[in-house]
Amino acid sequence: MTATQPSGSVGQPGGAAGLLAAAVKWLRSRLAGNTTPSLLRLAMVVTTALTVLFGVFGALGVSRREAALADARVAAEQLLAVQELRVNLVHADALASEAYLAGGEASGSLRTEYEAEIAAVGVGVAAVSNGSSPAVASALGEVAQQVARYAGLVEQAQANNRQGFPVGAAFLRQANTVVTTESVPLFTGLEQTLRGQVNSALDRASRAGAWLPLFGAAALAGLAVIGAWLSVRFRRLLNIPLALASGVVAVLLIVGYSMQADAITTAQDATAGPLTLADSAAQVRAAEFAARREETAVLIYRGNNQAQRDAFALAINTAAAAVRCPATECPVQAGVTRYRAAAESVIELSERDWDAAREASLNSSSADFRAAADAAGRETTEQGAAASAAFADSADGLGTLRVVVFAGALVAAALALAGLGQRLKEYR
Amino acid sequence: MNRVACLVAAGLLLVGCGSDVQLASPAPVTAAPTTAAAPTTSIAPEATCLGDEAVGRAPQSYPALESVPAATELPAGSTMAAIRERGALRVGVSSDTLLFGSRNPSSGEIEGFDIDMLKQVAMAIFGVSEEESYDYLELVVMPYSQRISKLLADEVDIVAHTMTVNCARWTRIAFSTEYYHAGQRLLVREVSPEVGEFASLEEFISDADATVCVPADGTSEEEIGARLVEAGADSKRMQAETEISDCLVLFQQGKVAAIASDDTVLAGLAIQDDPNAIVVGPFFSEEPYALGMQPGQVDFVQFVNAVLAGMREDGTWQAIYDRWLFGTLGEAKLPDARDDRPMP
Repeated sequence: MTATQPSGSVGQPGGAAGLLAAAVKWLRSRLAGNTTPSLLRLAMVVTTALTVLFGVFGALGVSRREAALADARVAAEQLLAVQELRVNLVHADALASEAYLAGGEASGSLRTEYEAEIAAVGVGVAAVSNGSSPAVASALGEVAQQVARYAGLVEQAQANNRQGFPVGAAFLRQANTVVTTESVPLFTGLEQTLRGQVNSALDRASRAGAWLPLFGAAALAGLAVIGAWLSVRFRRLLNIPLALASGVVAVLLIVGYSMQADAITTAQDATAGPLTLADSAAQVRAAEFAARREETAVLIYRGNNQAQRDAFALAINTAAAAVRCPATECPVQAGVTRYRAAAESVIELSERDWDAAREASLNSSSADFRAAADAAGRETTEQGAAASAAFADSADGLGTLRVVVFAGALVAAALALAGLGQRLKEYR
Repeated sequence: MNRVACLVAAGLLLVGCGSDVQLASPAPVTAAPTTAAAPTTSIAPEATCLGDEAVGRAPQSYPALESVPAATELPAGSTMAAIRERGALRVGVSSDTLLFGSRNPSSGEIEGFDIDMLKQVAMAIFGVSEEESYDYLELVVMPYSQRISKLLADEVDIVAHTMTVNCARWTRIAFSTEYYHAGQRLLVREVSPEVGEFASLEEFISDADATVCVPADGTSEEEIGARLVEAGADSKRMQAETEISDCLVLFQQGKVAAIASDDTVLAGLAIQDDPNAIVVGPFFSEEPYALGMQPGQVDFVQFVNAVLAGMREDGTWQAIYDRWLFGTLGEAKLPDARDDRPMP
C-alpha cells in the first residue's frame, strides 16, 4: 500500500504564498511587455488604490478608536455609578445600625438619612439599568429585590427596638446579612465586570490606532516609489501634483497619528489617574461605611460580638488598603486613620464601660467617621468628574479627523491622478 | 515608547496592540486576628453528683450562712470583702433574654429577673439600696456558651443567665441554691384563644411536616433530637440557631412551626410575638436555675445562699417574680433551697 500525497502539496506553492507568487509573476509579465503609457496607467491604479485604502481604513480606524473611547467612558461612568449605589446601600446599613444603637428620639435624623439612602439606591438602580447591558441590568434587578427585602427587615428591627424587644437585633443581623452576603458580592462582581469593560475598550482603542499609520505609511511609500520612478523615467526632478499628494498623505499621517496618540494618551491618563483615584476612593468609602456598621454592631451584639469585631477589622483594613493619595496631602488617608483610632477606642472601651462606649460611638466616633466618609466622598466626586471630563476630551476632534482623513485621501488620490495624467498626456 | 514600538510592530506585522494602561482590581484584604483563645482552665471535678437530677431536682449547694453579715462586717480576707474593696460586683448576664436580662432602650439599663437577683447580692455586699445597687454591678454581657468559661477565667464573680444547674456543671463551677425552677416547653402559633397549633411536643412530633427551632448546643437540641430519632422522624425537622432570637425571626417568618426552649425564655419570646404565639405542653425536661460562681469561692456561695434564703423569707423573691414573670408565667412555686452539700 502506498501513501497518498495531499493534493497540491508537492511542487506547487499553495495558499497565500502561491497567490502572491502568481500576482508577482503576472505583474512582471505585464511590466515586461508593456509600454510607458501602460505603466503610467498601472501607476494611476496603484496610487488611487493606496490613497483610497488609506482614506477608508484610516477613517475607519479613527472611527473605531472613537467608538472604543466612548465605550470606555460609558463603562467608567457606569462603574462609578454602580460604586455609588453600593456606597448608598452600605451607608444605609450603617445608618440603620447607628439608629438602632441610638434608639428613641435620637434615631429620628438617622432614620431620615437612612430613608434617603434607600431611596437613592432605588432611583440609582433604575437610572444605571437604563442603557446598560442585559447582564448589568439583570444584576441590578436582583439588587432591587434584595434592597426591598432588606428594608422590610430593617423596618421590623426598628419596630421591635422601639418596643424594647431584643428580637429587633436578630432582624437587624438578618438585614445586614442580606447586604453583606447578597448585595455587596453582586455589586463587587458588577464593578469587576465594568473594570473589565473599561480595560477591554482601551485595548480596542489602542489596536484601532494602528490602522491609520499602517495604511498611511503604505500610501506614502507607494507614492514615493512611483514619484522616484517618474523622475528617473522622465528625467524631471519633481512631479508637483504627485509631490503634493505625498505631502497631503504625510500631513494626514502626522496629524492623524498625533491626534490619535493624544486621544489614547488622554484616555489612558484618565484611567491611570482620576478614574483609578475615584475607584479607590469609592472603595475606601464603602469600606468605611461597612466598618462603621460593624463598630455599632459590636455594641449592639454586646457580649457576643466576635464576628462583628472581626468584620470591623476586615472593613477598616480594606479601607486603609484601598487608599491612594494623589498628593502629599491626603485627606482620605488622614480620615481613615482618625476614624480607625476613634472606632478602635470605642470597641476597646466597650469591654470596660459599655454605656460610655455607646456615647463615644454616637458622638466623637460618629463625627470622625463622618469626616472620613466626607473626605472619601469629595475625592470620589472630584476624581470621578475629572475622569468623565477627560474621557469626553479624549475623543474630541476624532469625528472631524475621520472626515478630514477620508476627504484628504481623496484629494491626494486626485492629485496623484493629475500628476500621472500630465505625463500620460505627453504621449498623446 | 511602548506605543512607538507597537506602531512599528503593527506596521511590520499587521498586528494590533492592547492598551498598556489597565484599571486595577482591588487586592484582597484580611482582618488582623483579634480572637483571643478561650481560657482552658481545668478544675478538679467534684467526686460525686449530689441530688436527684434524674427527677429534675437541682444538686445541693453549700450551706447558707446563718445570716447575711452587714456590709461593714464582711469577714476580712473573704471573697465578699475583696469584691467590696474593688467597688463593683462583676456579673455575667444576658442582654437579650426578655424578662430575665435585656436592655431597656428607654433607660439604657439591662433589667429583668436575673438582674434583680444580682442587685440583691450587691445590696448585701455594699450596703446600698435597691435603686443604688445597679451602679455597683459591673455588667459583663455574654452568650450562653461563655457562661462557665468567663467564670473560670475570673472575668466575673457571679453569673445570672438563666443557667441550669446540673451535676455536669457542678464538676466545673459552683452554684447557689436553686432560685427559679424552669422547664422546657414549646412555643407555637396560637390558632384560637389559648389554643396552639400543637398542644404538646408529642403532637408536634406526630406531624411529619412541622419543623422546630432550638438554641444550638443546648439541652433542647439534645432532647428534641433524641425524640425525633425515637419517633423515626426526619432530623432535618429541627433547626439549631446560635441565638434564640434568630429562632423567633424564623418563627415570625413562618420558616419554623415551633421553638423549643426553657419556658422562661419562651415567655420572653411570646411577648415579642404578641399576640400570635403561645407556650404549650408540659415540661419535657426540668431546668432548675442557680447562680454560678467560681469553684474555689465557697464562702461567696454560702453568702449568696444566705441572701437567697433571706429573699425567700421576707417575700423579696416573690415580689421580683411578680414584677417580671407572673404576668406571663402565672403562679410559681418557690423552689426548695437544698443547701446540704458537704463543705470541701
